Amino acid sequence: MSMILEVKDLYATVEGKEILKGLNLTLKAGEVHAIMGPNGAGKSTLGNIIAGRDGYEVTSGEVLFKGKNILELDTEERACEGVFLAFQYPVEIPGVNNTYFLRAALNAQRKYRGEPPMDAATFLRLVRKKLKVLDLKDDLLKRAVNAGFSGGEKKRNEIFQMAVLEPTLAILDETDSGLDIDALRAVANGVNALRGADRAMLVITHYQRLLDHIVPDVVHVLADGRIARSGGPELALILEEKGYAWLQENDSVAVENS
Amino acid sequence: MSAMPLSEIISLDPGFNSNEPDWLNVRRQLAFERLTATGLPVEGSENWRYSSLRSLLRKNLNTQADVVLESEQLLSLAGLEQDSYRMVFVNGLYQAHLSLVPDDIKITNLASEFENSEIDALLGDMPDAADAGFSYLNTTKFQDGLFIQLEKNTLCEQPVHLIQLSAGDVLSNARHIIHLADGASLTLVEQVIELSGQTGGGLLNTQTQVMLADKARLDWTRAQTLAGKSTLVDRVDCRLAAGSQLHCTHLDLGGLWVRHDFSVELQGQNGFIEVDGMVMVRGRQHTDFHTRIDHQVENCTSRENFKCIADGRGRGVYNGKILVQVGADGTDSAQKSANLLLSEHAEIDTKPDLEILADDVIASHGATVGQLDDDALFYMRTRGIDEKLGRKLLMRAFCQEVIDLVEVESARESLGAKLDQVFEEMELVG
Ligand SMILES: Nc1ncnc2c1ncn2[C@@H]1O[C@H](COP(=O)(O)OP(=O)(O)OP(=O)(O)O)[C@@H](O)[C@H]1O
Ligand SMILES: [Mg+2]
Repeated sequence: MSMILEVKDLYATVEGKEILKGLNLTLKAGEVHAIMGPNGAGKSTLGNIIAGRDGYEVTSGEVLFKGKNILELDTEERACEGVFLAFQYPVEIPGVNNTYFLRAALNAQRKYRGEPPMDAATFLRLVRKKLKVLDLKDDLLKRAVNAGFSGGEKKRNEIFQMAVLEPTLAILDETDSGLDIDALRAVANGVNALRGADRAMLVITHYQRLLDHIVPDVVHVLADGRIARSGGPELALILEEKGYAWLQENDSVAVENS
Repeated sequence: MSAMPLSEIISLDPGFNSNEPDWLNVRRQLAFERLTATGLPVEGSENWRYSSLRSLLRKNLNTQADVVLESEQLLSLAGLEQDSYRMVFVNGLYQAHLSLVPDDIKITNLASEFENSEIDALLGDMPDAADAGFSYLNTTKFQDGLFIQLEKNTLCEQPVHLIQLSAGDVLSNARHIIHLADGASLTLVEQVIELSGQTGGGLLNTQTQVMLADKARLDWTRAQTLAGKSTLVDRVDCRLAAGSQLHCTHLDLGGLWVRHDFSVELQGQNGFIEVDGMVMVRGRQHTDFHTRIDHQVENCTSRENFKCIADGRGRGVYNGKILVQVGADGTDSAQKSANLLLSEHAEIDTKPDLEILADDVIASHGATVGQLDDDALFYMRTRGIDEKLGRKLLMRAFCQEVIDLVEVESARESLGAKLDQVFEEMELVG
């Protein structure tokens, strides 16, 4: 199986403060990994660094995407290479139409890959198909990007974008937070529909319930800037029951494992 | 006559012209006397503090340029159809062979109406102010302009286009009158364009009188895309009678130095005025927009929505005066000024100026100056949209609200396209 993402001994700071402290993570094609961990542990930081947000300084270590160092690429180049970040807090862009925006994004990626732009009619057919999978309301398409969307609508819109862009690596940062039961199922459907032999997904979540719908291959616990523990889906159940304090009690075990 | 600096041109006595009616000779003389007394506005004057005339006064200007313009060329320049109603002026002079007007409605050129005794009254009282120099200059020199007079309850179904072309380094003075009788309705699309192939660098000094009688309605789009060396001084005086409505949307994309004075007197109850503007300044462009809305009677409504994007060393000035006079109770007025400052060398000066002397008045105003949203840019980039396109989309989004106000679809689309072209040309900065 080929490597999609390799994070090797990554150290990173934000405004001089060290957040990631020697993080290691490997995702192979076809895999879905979940990341759990306490607030402020550095989960979103990891997603932001992979996506290329300004303000994070990688002090050592590397991030390889399909074997290539992506830290050298611009954010939009990473996206065009196939990296997608579903935001914990999706950004509202008043005045920019959701459909127009998404077509511009898709065509930017197609251009990067040397493919011709997709015309409006073909795009619309694609969009309709994806909407069905996600059970998303049509009128969201006509509105401005995330502007005035409810929390749940914003999260669904992230998954909708992912479904249209079909990335090789999708990082979902708490996409399940704030979703009602139906929305959770819709989001999970969207994610499962995209699961495939040549893709990988990193699902950041606080809740075990998402993992009932999206069954991960591996569950990691990110605490204090590094992967403190990795295991199978059962790890999520243990954490749900015992809380993160249980990790500290078993700290020595974690160190031995890593 | 050879080129002459503006500072000298203003001292030329118009003299007595036996080809013109007496009322016009009288008007020109009075204007000349006042111009001699006041000169053009200087920096000391409050209303002109941001707009220095120093280099304009030194500007060498001609009285006319040789222009050959074919119909095809005009239509493509102005984005018009063969059968679009249009009144065309080059450097303030009427171009009958390029114009097309409906024959059942009075749309003509002002000079052809000089014998009409009404014109003097329609031109209104001459302003009497120390800073009205450009208006005096216009009156001493204007040769022609647009004259629209719609009879009671006339509806002009098709939009009428007013095309003003600037060619060469010429001083042009155009004078327009728009008079709509009770219940009449008109859609007017005005364009101030540089004649391509000409060097630019002229001064266009336009003045327009708008009179809307009871329940008349005017929808007016005004787009200016002059070349980078040209200057424009534009004055509009509107008088609105009871229940009349004026929607006016401005788009200023070109010109080196531009000044607008847009003044509205709400003279009858339940009048409605909405004046909006989208101003783009970059390079060393300077655009100064002054509006004055005078609520003279009860229960009128005014709306203003001005936006400016300033890049490079551009400077955008907006001054929105709202006067609610004694007795103008029940006035409802709202004013907004939103601005994007894209470069550290650009400048925005925005000032609401409210004077309220009546009771039971709603008057809201707000001004913001911001930058492009970095979070939105990052969000777009994570989807594959590069920074340049992202910035374009955000700028377009900022402008869209004003563009959407343009009623005529073809004009709305061509103005949107012109905006996109400007964004395309903009340097990608930090
Ligand atoms: N731009 C920033 N400026 C300052 N501090 C930051 C910034 N981004 C992240 N941090 C800090 O880095 C630490 C890790 O933040 P991060 O958002 O990665 O946590 P998280 O694991 O995603 O938490 P949560 O579960 O609450 O979303 C926090 O202490 C946070 O305050
Ligand atoms: Mg987070």
